[in-house]
Amino acid sequence: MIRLKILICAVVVTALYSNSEAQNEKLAPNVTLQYFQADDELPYVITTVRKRVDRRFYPVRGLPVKLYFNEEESEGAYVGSGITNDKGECQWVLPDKLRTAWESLDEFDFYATVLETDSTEEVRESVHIIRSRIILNTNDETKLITGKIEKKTTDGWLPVEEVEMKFFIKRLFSRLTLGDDTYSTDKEGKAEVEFDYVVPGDNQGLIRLGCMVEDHDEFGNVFAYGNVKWGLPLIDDNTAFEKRSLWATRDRTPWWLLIFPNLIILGVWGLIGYLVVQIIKIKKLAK
Amino acid sequence: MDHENKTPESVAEKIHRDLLPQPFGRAGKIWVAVLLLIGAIGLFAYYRQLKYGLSVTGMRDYALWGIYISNFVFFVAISLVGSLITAILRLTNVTWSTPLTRIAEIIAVSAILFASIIIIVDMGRPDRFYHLFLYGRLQSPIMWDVIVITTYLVLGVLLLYFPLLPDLKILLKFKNNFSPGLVKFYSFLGSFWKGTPEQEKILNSSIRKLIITIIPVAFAIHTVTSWLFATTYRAGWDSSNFGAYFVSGAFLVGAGGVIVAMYVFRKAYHLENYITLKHFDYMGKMLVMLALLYLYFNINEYVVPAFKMKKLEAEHLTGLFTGSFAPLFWSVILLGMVLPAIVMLFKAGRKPLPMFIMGILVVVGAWFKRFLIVTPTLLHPFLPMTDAPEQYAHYFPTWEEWAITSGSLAGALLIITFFARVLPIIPIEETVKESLQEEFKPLSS
Repeated sequence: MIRLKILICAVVVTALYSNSEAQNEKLAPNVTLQYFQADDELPYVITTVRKRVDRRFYPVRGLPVKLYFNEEESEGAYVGSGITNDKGECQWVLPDKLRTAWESLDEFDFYATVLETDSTEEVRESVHIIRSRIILNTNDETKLITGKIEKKTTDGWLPVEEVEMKFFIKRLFSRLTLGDDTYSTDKEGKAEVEFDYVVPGDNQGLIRLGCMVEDHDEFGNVFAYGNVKWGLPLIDDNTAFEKRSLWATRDRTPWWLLIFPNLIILGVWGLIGYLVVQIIKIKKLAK
Repeated sequence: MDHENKTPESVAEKIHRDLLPQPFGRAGKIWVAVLLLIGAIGLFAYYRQLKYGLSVTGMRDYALWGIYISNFVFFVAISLVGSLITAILRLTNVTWSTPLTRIAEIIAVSAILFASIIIIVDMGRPDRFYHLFLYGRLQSPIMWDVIVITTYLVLGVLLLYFPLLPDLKILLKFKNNFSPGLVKFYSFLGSFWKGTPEQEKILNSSIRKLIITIIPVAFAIHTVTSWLFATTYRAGWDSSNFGAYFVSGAFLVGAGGVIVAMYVFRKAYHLENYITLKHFDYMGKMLVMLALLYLYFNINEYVVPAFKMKKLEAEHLTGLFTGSFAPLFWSVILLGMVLPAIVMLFKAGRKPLPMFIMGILVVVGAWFKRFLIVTPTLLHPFLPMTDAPEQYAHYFPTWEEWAITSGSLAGALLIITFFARVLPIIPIEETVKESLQEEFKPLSS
């Protein structure tokens, strides 16, 4: 009987211990790095930190992250640090001090370190990028848009074949895709799409065209933009606001809204004034 | 006092002594200390909100109106009681409500004052409040609300002040009972009142004009508050029923508030001879009527859209009927309306203690009812929520919001307590008049 009790105690203690160990076990978050670069601008990198629960990934906010360019944990290669937001993301533009290094390299890496916290382990991740660029050309007569992708090598910029390229118009909030979803580049690294759309532009009819290579294994995300006068000029029509209406400015309040509420206000406040006069009258009667 | 020994003077003297404001006892002091503490915590939370901005609240892109606005609507609603008890009942020559009029007026003034304050708390930049007057557009229902609230506050103060004048004369007669500061205060307010026939004439005429005016203004104040919601196309707000629905709900919570106050003042100041079982009985019957009226508007408000179940309305209503707001929704309907109406249908339910408990249920239910009107609608926007953090789809107030809201409620109670300390909570002069009429009426009548 005593043996049985000891055995039960041992099982309970072991279970509690293993349970507490499981509770103390730190989470190893999943980290991804995405590289973005447009025209001649400096690139930016987004790190996304997620945790896996029940086969699904959820963003982790509030984790400290450091980013280095081409050299891990080196002070000279330090890009920046940050705390992940609600989407589990941190974003950095490559600082100007690293521009020369970035421009001179054909290939480079970004190293992210998610620092250890009470609940998560330290995690390191990197992304390797081959430097590339897109050259966007437009023809006003044929309304043909051509994108050409080139990668940087020791022999200079060389075209890249069979890269999936997207064309779009940059609208206020998102991209309006032109033509098919993607176009594959030919031997010259070129892909093209015909512009056959009627879309509003700015006051002069200017629209912003874009061409991109998205989530490429070697190049990351690369963009090129150009402005063309292919849109419908936007004509400002403020006539609705010039009339007296509910949505106009205060000096264009509808007459009925000025007259009736003000009559009521004057009536009620007139009575309030009358009542105050009555108090004064009562006061005078006391003398 | 035996009837044979009663003289008009002795009756008046006894009423005067019974109804003079009393200093706080131990319980009163503890009550004030607790309210001050809650108020101080609220002020600290508001300091944090001023320092860090509205980000300390739980309000985000979608739920941009939270418990501050719910609290605002609650305050506006309960303030209507001044017009119900004082104006409507007085105008219809109902005399039994006389001992309750000042309680109702005090609740009205305190509530509308804090309604004005809490709306400023909801502003991200309170230092720009004056922009409302500089740049306000009469096309906006918010401007209408600002105008009508200011008007109602002034009318409420006048309605409290005019009937107080004869009582001030009595208070000054007993000036030895009060501190010099208080006597100065009474003198400032009404030392000029002599009770001459000319003064009486002006007073009665002024009160009559005031109560006639305050009724439409009271209706306007809560109708306009309802229009802040009903003039939008949002599911749950886009309703032509809203004005009447809000006004009926306001009368219910106001009556509930008066019942709670009646019970507390009766106990605290031993006013059993003045706030009698008859008053509880009548107020109970009135509350049953108001609860049924409000239920009727609720049925209109929920059943008609539920019958059609338009897409957005369906999302909103499902959230209330069976979704995350269901426990609160059904508690408010059942505990805040149905149960009080059932309990008070019975004579035993119209006794002080059950009425007090039901009154609290009505008032608490009314507060949460405003929350259910304001917030769930905002969580169902016209455009789907995209690219927004998951937490934006929910709203739960932060401790700062709870502290500020509790602080404002404590502030309103503090003002009521202050009035109860310095003013006769039951109108003395009117009570004397009515008692003398009752006691010494000719036998033939």
